[in-house]
Amino acid sequence: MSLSLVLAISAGLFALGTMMFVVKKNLIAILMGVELLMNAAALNFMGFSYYSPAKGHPLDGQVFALFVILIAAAEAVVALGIAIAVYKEFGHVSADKLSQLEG
Amino acid sequence: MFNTLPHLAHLPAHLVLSLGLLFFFLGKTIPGIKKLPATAIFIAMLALAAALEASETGSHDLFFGMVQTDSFSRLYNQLYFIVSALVVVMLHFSDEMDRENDWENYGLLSCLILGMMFMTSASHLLMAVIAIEMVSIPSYLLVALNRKNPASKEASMKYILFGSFATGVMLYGMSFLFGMTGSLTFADIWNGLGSESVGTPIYYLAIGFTLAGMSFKVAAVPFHFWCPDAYQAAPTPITAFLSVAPKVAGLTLMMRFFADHLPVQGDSLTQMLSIVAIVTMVVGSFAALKQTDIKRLLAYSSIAHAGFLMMGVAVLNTDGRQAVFFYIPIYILMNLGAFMAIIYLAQDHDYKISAFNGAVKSNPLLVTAFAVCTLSLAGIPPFAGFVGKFYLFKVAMEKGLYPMILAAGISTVVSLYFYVSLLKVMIIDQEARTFSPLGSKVPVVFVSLCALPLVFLGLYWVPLVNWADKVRLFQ
Repeated sequence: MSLSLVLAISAGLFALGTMMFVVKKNLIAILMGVELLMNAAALNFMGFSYYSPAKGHPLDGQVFALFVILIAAAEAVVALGIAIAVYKEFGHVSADKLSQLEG
Repeated sequence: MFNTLPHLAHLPAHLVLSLGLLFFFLGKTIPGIKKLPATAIFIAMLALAAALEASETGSHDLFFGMVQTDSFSRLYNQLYFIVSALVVVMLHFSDEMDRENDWENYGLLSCLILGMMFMTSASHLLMAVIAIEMVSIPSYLLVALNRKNPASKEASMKYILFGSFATGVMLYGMSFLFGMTGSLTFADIWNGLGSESVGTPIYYLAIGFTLAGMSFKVAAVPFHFWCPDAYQAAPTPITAFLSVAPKVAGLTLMMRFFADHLPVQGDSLTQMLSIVAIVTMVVGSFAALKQTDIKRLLAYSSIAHAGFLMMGVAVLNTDGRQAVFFYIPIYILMNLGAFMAIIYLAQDHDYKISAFNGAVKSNPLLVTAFAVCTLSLAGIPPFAGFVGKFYLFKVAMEKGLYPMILAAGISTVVSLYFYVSLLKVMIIDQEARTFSPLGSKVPVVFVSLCALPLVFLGLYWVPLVNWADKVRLFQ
């Protein structure tokens, strides 16, 4: 493993996440794409922190990665809660059919 | 063992808000407490926080460079408390939110205000991310709480998807800033990006992606898609709040983030920020032209205003910071006044522009005050909005950013058209329906109290300039 390999994997994750965000129609699938984005960022932080640790603060990157996981979890909780509310209101979780607000 | 107490002593207002957050979420479980008036407690909490914030002095670097409190953060924090108190008054006159959930609503608002205060004080990327999330997550929930409009769930869903996408992009950009410089505090990042890295693709990518999360909070193009939907479907007081406070917090985060840049980076950063500002102004004002819903129209107008305020950020100097702060109290007054008038005039939650035909006949005073707010938003001379825009144009002119001034000029002219046609509908057109007079006179007083300072400050703005003088430096 080298730093460039880690960066390549995280760039792949980022591209996949962005593609899911753009292409998918199901709200839950879009959320999964966003999780991939966050994990790409967390992986980057881990890689940078492992291969070139910050002077004076060698754990900065790893702590940041922990917080990224935490933020992803917090957003997922709220997003899934709202998705349930959307399902109760409209009976589906398809992004295409959510079109009451347009203009 | 690290002693946090001396650090916490410099964050009294943050402590008050944190305790308030716990109180509003947990207090209901204690028997007997539920009977206490939540609104009065919330307002008292805001007043206490504002008083504590006003009594602080000096600049302090707290928690290993995570948070910085100084004159800049203190002035903006006081603005957040004022806006929140005004929005609580607006909530009182709107039936869109369930009053039985007051405790939870105020808990969410406390969390939001605390997040904005940390956004203004953050001097570390981790703090910036957490603060942005502390503002975002309660906003998603508050948008969904409109019980009169089922579409609010849809709007909240769109908001949260765009919001978490922007956060993901921002985190990815931050990871590259960390990788390039090996540090996370703002000052060290700019020191680490030496002249050899300026202008490389990775430099633009890292800073541009980091800017994405901040421009999502400001609702700047290309992260503005959530804005019209969320503003249209959210409860109107919450719309008014979101159109002012988190936007200001995002601008303050940008100003503090870019404040420590080295001279060699200045041109590239100004270039990036002015592109965002130009696109935001133009898209905001042109997209507003075809709107038929008044809340959606004001959403696009707030996007255009975000672009105007970004002009003051893009010049990246002390004059720019002063011009931005000068415009913000004016912006707060005109936006909150306009939204309050809409709450009062709208019937059965119909916010179509055509539903406001001839409103002047039954509510002359209110529509006059609304007209002052709207003309001030458009930047017509005797009102304060003109002076605010003038200062923003002036700092951009001194920096020589002529394309941006041209875009701002075009955007001002275009936005004048839709503001004036809105007034034409209200004042000249025939009455389409009868406006039943509402019981309370407070909304009329509220809007008039927003409109009067706009006239006053438009004629004599020296006090405001002197006040804004304190945000020039972080001291």
